[in-house]
Amino acid sequence: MKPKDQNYSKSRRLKNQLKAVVTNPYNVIVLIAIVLLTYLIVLPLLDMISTTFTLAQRDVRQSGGVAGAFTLYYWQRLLASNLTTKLLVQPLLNSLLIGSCVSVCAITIGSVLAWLMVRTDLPFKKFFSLAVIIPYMIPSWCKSQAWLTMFKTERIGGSPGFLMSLGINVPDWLAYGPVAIITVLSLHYYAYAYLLVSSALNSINSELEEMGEIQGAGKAMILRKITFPLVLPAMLSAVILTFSKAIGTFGVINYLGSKVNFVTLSSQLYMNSKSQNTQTAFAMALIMICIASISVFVNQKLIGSRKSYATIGGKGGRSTPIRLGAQKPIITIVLIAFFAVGIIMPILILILESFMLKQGTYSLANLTTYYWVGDGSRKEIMEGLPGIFRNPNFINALINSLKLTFVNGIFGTIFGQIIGYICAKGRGKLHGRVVEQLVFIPYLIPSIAFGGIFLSMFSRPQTLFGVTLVPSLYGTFALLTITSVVKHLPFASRAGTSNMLQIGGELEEAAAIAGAGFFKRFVRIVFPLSKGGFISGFMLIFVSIMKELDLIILIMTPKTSTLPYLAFQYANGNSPQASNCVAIVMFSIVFLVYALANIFGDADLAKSMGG
Amino acid sequence: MLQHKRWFAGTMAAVMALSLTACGGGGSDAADPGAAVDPNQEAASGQAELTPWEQSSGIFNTDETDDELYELAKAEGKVTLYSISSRCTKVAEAFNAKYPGVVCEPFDISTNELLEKVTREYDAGQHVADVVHIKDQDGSLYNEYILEKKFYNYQPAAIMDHIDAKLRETQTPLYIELTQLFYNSEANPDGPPVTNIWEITQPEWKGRLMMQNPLDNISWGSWITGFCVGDAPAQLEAAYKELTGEDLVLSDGCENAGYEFLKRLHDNSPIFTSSSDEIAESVGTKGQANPPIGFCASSKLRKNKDNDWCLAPINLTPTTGIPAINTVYVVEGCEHPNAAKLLIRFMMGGTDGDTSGYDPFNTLGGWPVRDDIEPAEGSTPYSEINVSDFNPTDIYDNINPVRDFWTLLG
Repeated sequence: MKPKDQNYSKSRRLKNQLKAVVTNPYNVIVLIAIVLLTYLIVLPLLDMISTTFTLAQRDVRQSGGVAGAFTLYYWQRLLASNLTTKLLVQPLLNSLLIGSCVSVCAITIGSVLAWLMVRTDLPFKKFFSLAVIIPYMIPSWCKSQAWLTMFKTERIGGSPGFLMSLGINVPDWLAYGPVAIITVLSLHYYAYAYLLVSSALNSINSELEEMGEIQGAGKAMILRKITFPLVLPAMLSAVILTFSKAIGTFGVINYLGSKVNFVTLSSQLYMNSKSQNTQTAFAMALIMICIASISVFVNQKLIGSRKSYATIGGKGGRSTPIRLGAQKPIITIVLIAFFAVGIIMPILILILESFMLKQGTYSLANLTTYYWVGDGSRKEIMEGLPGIFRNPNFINALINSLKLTFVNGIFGTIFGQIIGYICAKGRGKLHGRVVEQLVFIPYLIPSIAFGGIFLSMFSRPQTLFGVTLVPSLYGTFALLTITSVVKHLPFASRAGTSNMLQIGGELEEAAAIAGAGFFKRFVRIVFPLSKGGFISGFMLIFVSIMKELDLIILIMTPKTSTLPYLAFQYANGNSPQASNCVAIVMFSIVFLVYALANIFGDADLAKSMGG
Repeated sequence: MLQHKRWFAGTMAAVMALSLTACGGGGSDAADPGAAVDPNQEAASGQAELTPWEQSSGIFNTDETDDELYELAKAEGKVTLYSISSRCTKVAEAFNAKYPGVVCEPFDISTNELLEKVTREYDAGQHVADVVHIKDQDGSLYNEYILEKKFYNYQPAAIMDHIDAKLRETQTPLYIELTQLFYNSEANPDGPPVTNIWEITQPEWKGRLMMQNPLDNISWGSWITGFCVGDAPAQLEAAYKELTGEDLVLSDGCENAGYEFLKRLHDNSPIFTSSSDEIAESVGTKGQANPPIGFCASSKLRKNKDNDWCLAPINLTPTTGIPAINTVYVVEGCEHPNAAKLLIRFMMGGTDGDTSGYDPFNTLGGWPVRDDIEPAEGSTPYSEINVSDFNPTDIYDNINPVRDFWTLLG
């Protein structure tokens, strides 16, 4: 704020400015956030960086030197040796290919779906808006499996794929490799774009579009000139999430890519980590973090050049759906077909397999409920383990998972929104940029590394100048919470940022003039207006914590088991069917929560917007 | 060597300048990496002074009885087992039934996570795991855990007497698994389509051999390394001559017949999958006209009956590769050493004829290491299978060069 009165002396002005900085709760929150993020994110990152420069005991024999000494061995090997092409360049190019294509496809699908759901008079909206998010809840390996069930060729033997059994010869390039991977990942990750864009669209006052209509603009023009720019921040947020997730993912790429020897940086990273070449794996993770940072930076430049995207203004909002007219039935049919293939097929395959005594044998006699409710008396099945509902650990795992996902989902979302608030208000300023970059790092630190570093950090009391700040958290629920909240902060804060960017500054300013303090403004104005984004953010975290295994398995003690751990146990014990059963339970929980949030959230959102 | 020394001196100076701890920790090993002496042997034979924990736990005592240990274990109350096998839950149940008053808490976790977790916990002074069940696939457990005194071998004499001395030199073995070549017995009623290992590098099997990418994880990495060390290269060379009648000519960059074999295997475009299960399914599914052959974990044989497959193992000449030996260790500094010992004795089949702790592991596709325990019904006797010797130091020294070699192949 510029002082209007020039009579103030410079020193007095400085004093006032300083006072404003120190007493402003916003600045205090920013400070606390930066300190916490530095501690929880920068320290682990530094740990990783120093690991890549420290010679490991196991590499002493190949490189010479002393274990624990400073070394350039790993970076030199990765960046400037005869291995560089195979280890880094090719995989990196493949990663960028997958990342870019998946982003384009997923954002297109997600945004179009969001627009159809929110802004048009599409029929069966309630059903569609529930269905649209399901693909994200189904584990991605399940979709790759469905893909292979459909397109498998003779190349890999086993039971024939569906098309092959019909006599259709699918070319290998379609069945395996980049095309398959891009399709499956796009169908998985369009959820980010959908969730973010639809909550942005929801908050757009349709008067903006109607004004365009009055001026004589066509639908396409309105879409291009009014709607699109308004949801651009949400779309760019989604691009970052999708791109980083697509370059960081491993399961689908290994499953569909390995058959044609298609390797990306993430699969190289994972392979090195599984081969206990931790340093090389960390170095690769750092390279991926750099790529993601660049994309965040580009995003900041793109959005930063535009001044305001505030769509939640002080005036009453109204939303009139756009008529689809003659295309309505066609669009409806296309959507139904899309959901049939993208949702119903993978789920049906998953459910069917959980009832099949022997895998791959499709007959009535082969159906069984043993994996669900078997008592463990048949020693030849599941190595004598009982079905999931009879497993004494099941209830325990269920409770732990629910506790973990709800507590972490809520904590994570709150922090995410606060950080989103900082990023939005601090946009274009140094602290905003710093926080935005920082918060993104955990996303690309491999779970096992992240879990390991946190385990080490918090297994001892944390002291500063001899004062114990944090006691040893080993084996506590608090440690599980801290680790998973920080790891999933990128989701939450992304959702928070695009959410907060839409809230017009004048609302807060008006409240400030009326005498409302910072906290009052946050609780009474910012928070209620951002409920939609809050719920989207919560769902993003909830779903991914529910599925999390690698991160949590390091932190948990033998007594705290969770549902993904149970699924792992069954898979490890040669009973994929029971593992599928657990996956179905997980999916059902996530779906139920989403359905509730959707219904509850919608009702609330409508109220807060003044109907 | 001179260069090595100069390098060493330079690094030492740098290390001393940087940190004293790193110097103290690493110096003794790096000075002469070739002749690592197992400090445990000296300690066990009374030549070296014992650490307080070694003293109090009596880790080198090998002649205690189950009853003595049970009494001591009851005072400790519990024992925590980290295991790579889902069957550890069965073992724990049997243990808890046999030894009331001592509770065994099993934790089923995969190799990588297990090592990461136990190492991090150990370094942070959290002594959670008492017993670890894992495989020393590339010799790193021996070289980085046993020699560094993070893990201990507990080798009760009465049980060790029944185990081949070669197997228990650097580890306490539990049971053995293999990576075997499998074929579809329905499509090949006359027996295996290949027997000599070089046949899989011939054009007939181009693009029709399945395996996991050796770079995928440490167990496949160790397995391919096994062909390049010890007696394997010489055996491979002889087998090549036997098959083709010609001497093997090594390509550029191939140090020995092992590397040459890997190169030709790679050039024959094997199909990589993401898991052993996929290979078993691809090879073993009935009703295929032209099924592939594939390398996978021998334990997949167990799924034959469950899934109505017709997987059959091939006893390759000259070798089917190195074995994957499941091993058990006591973690240094653990709080329940007596219960840990009791559990290890129980897992290894005990001395009283009650093998309920061992039975869960004794299944088709796994072989017991004890000469007084019969393998599961239907197993080929281990002695009839062509298996290379597992030398932890050879594998440990060569796994990374071999991985790099494979990486460069593409």
